[in-house]
This record gives sequence, structure tokens and C-alpha cells, in this order.
Amino acid sequence: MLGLAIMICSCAITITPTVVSPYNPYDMSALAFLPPGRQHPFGTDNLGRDVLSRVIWGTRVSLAFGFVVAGMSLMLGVILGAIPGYFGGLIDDVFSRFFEVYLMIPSLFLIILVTAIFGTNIMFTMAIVGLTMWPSNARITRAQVLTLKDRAFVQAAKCTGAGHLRIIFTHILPNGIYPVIVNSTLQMGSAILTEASLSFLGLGDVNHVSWGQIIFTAQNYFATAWWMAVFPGIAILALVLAFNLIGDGINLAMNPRLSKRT
Amino acid sequence: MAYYVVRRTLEMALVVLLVITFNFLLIHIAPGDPATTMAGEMATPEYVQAIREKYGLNKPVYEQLLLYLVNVLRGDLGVSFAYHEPVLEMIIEKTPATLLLVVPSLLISFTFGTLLGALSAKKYGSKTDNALSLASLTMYSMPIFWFGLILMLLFGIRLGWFPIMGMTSVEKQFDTASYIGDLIWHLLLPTLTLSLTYMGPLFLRIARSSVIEVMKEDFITAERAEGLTENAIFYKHALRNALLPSITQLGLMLGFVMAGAMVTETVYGWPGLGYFMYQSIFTRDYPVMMGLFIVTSIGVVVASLITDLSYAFLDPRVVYK
Repeated sequence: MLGLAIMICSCAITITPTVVSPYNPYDMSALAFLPPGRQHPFGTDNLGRDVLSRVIWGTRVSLAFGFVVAGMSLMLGVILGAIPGYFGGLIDDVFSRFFEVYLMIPSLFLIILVTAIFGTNIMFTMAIVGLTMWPSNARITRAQVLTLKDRAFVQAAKCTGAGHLRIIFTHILPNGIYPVIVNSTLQMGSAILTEASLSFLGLGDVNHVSWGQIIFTAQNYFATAWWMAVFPGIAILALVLAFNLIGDGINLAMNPRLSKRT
Repeated sequence: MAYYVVRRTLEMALVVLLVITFNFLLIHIAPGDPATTMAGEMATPEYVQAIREKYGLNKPVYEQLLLYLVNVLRGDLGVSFAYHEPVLEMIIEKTPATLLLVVPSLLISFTFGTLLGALSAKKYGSKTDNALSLASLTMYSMPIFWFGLILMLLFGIRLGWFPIMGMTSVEKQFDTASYIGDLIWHLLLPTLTLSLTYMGPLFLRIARSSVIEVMKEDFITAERAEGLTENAIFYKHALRNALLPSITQLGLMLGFVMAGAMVTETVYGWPGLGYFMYQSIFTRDYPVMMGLFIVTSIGVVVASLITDLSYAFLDPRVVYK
């Protein structure tokens, strides 16, 4: 529940950054390295920009990243998981091996490698991160499809002559989607963390203000201007925690056995 | 059983081949000429030509792929742009540092995570349980590098208890004993960072849910009926069964552990593989990056193979076709 609250707030902030944010984040309006005070609640950074505004604008990037990546992973994962689950046989074997293999590779290294070679355009980064995340959704979908495809209602649909695609999309998936949704919310948090880590390592898109990027620049001035690094980090923590809490909440709702009332 | 081992090993070999092929693809899709990608922007034309010959870049693609595979499998991962040394040598040099960080962190987070998770499950629904779960979720949501920075700020800068950079102190002279002491002193903060942020909470959650599941099983009720004390049941039987999923997870997590280690090393300037990767990003040192990717993939694959196989020993109920 708390998660929901945080997320709603951050959504609101994202949609109206121009209203909420007191300063233009690129505006080097003030003295550099001001500690948090009344004029600048989060202080200013090394170029005199208000940190609070930068944090607020950064919300946009993080949320966008989270949604796009998780969405991509969801769509790819569900489709590419349902197919092997439903048709079975050789396709299933091949895909399953593929998923296992894929999940073992250290994805951050892969993402770093690709981003370093091809550039730091944020669209591209989103695509790459999405491409590393879909197998986990696929695995879950496959398991769900396997469980559901022998159920009575699916057999009934087959009897009435429904084609394969129809069965998958109108019968199996709507019933099996819940674990995937939970996983997707967790993946949103994960995507945001990945983006922050990438920016922190210097591979973020410089055209957009991003929390990880703020922390990246903050590293050099860390000893004297702690506020530059601390606040964006808290923002990341809060947003990711929100997603994780939401995911957990959905999980609890779907699995009453895990809840406190046994 | 032997069949299973062979099959898994072959699968792992396949993974490694895929990784290497992927690297190969990357070199060729990259903007610019593959030879320049491998040689670097500051290379002399003779060097570029030498690279061209070695990798046979004038030949058809499938021959190139074969050549590349053979080169890599022989241990030739190219030469670093920045350091002008063979990549494989540099990687081997830096591996111990990373292992020194990763292995203790894994042990700590496994032990404490599992124990706390079990404790949390034992007091299911109580305040302790809720507090621990919330704390663990918060830590899981925390960006590793930020947590490292905070720890550094608090303990390194404000309180001055721990050093903030590097693996050893440069100024002093050491004999073996105090060298180890100094090493451990430098090791503490990074280890803490790494173990608390990702792995600890994960193990806690797994341990907690698997203990909860086990406690519902019939044999537990049977033992209660036999008159065993709650504690005895818990520690001797429930816990042991609950450990198994944790071990499986250990094998799966190793890829992420490497990523976490990389970020931690970057924050603390710990001279391991992760830091090496970080440095190579700035110099766009592609041979190093690709070499690291291959090596870490192999490492992860081997480690998870070992974990998988040890699972067969640990759980006598498991039968492999």
C-alpha cells in the first residue's frame, strides 16, 4: 500500500515537472556547492544547479525507463514463453535451454559492452536492457501455459474448434498472467537500478538528467558536497522500493497462503 | 547420473561458444571497421594490418568465425589498447582481488541471510518478521553504488574508521601478518556493501519462504506428535530442507553477483575485474571488455555447473534422468 502511494506521487511529479520543480535543472543559477537550505532544499551541485530540480526531472527518465523496459520484457517474454509452452516438443526443448543459458550470463557486462560499442542513446539502452530481461518472463509464462493447457476449459475451447492463437490469447494467458505481472513490477525496479548503475558508470545518456548520472558527477565532490550524492540515491531507493512493494502486494493478493492470516 | 554430468557439461560448453560467437558478432556489427575495433583508434596502420591478418578479416565470414573461436580457445583474447599487454594475462592478474571480495561476501550473505530468513519464518507474522522483511526489501531496492557511497561517507570520511579506497595502504611497510590485517581492514566496507544490498535480502527471502513451506509439511506434524521440541524440529529438520532452494539460487545468481561486484569495486577503487571493466569503459578498450565478458561468462557457467552438480549430492531425493 505504501508502495502505491509512493508511485502515485512520483507519477504526479513526472507528469508535471515544470510545475513542481522550482528551478530549471540546467540553469546554473546559484552558487555552486550550496548545502541544503531554504532556497535550495537539496543543495546545489558543482555547476550551481539546484539538486532538487534535477532529482525531480530525473524521475521522468527513471519511470520511462522502467515502464518501457518492463513493458518490452513483458510482451516479448509472454509471447516467446507461451509458444514453447503450448506447442511443446522440440521448440520447447530449444527455448528452455535458451532461457537457462540466457539467465546465467552476467547481463550487466553485456549491456555495458554493447552500450560502449554502440553509444549511449537512451532509446538504445532501453532496448538492450529490455532484451536482457525478457527470458525471465518467458520462463514463467511457459510454466503457466504448461499448467493451464491441459485444463478442462482449454479442452472445451479446443472442442469448439478454436484455433491455437485464439486459445492462447483469450483463454490461457488471461488466467496465467498474474505471476508475470508480479515479475514485471519487480523488473521495473530492476530496470531502474540498472539504468542508474549504467549512468553511474558513465554510460548514461548525457542529454537527459538521470539520477545515476547525478551521482556519477557527485563522486568527485563527495567529501565536501555530500548532498549531491545522497538525495538522488534516496530517490532511486524510494522508487524501486515502491515497485517492489507493489509487486509484493500483488503477490500477496494472488497467493493468500502467503499472507498473515493462515 | 553420469549421463547428467556429461549433458550439463556439454550445455555449458555450448554457452561458452555462444558467448564467444556473440562477441564476434559484436565486433562485426560495431560501427566502423572490425580491424579498427580490435586495434583501437590510435593504432598504427601496420598494427591494423597485422590484426587483419591474424583474424583473417579478408576472408569469408564463417572462416573468420572459426579463426576467432580458435584464437580465443587458445587463450588469445587480444591485446589491451591502454596497457599494451595481453588481455588474458591482465585478467588473470586481477582475478584474485575480485575473488577476495566476492567469496567472503557470498559466504556472509548466505549465512546471515539464511539464518535471518529462518528466524523470520519461525516468528511468522510477528513484528520481528515484518521488520526484517521490510528491512530486507529496502536493502534489495537500494542501488549498490549508492549504499557503498553512503557507507564510505559515514564510516570512511566522517568517522574515519575505514579506508575508502584501494586494496592496501601504500605508505607503510609490511610483513605478512600485518599485510593480511591491512587487507582485511580495506576489505570490510566493500564486503559489507556487496553482501547487504543484493544477496543478503535474496537469501533471506528464499530461506523464509522455504522454511514456511517446510513447516507446513506432514513430517513436521509427525515429529511434533512424536514429542520433539519445537527447537529440535526447527533446527535439525526444517532448516536443512530449506537450505536446498538457497543453494540452487546461489548457482543462478552468480551473474548478478559479478555485476554487483563490479559496481562495488568501482565505488571503492578495489583493483579487481570489475574495476578493470570500469576503466576499460573510459578508454573504450574493446579487447579488454570483450575478454572480460568471455571470462566472466565462463566463470559463471562453471560455477553454476558445480553448484548444480553438488545439488545432486546434497539432496538424495533428486534423481537425474
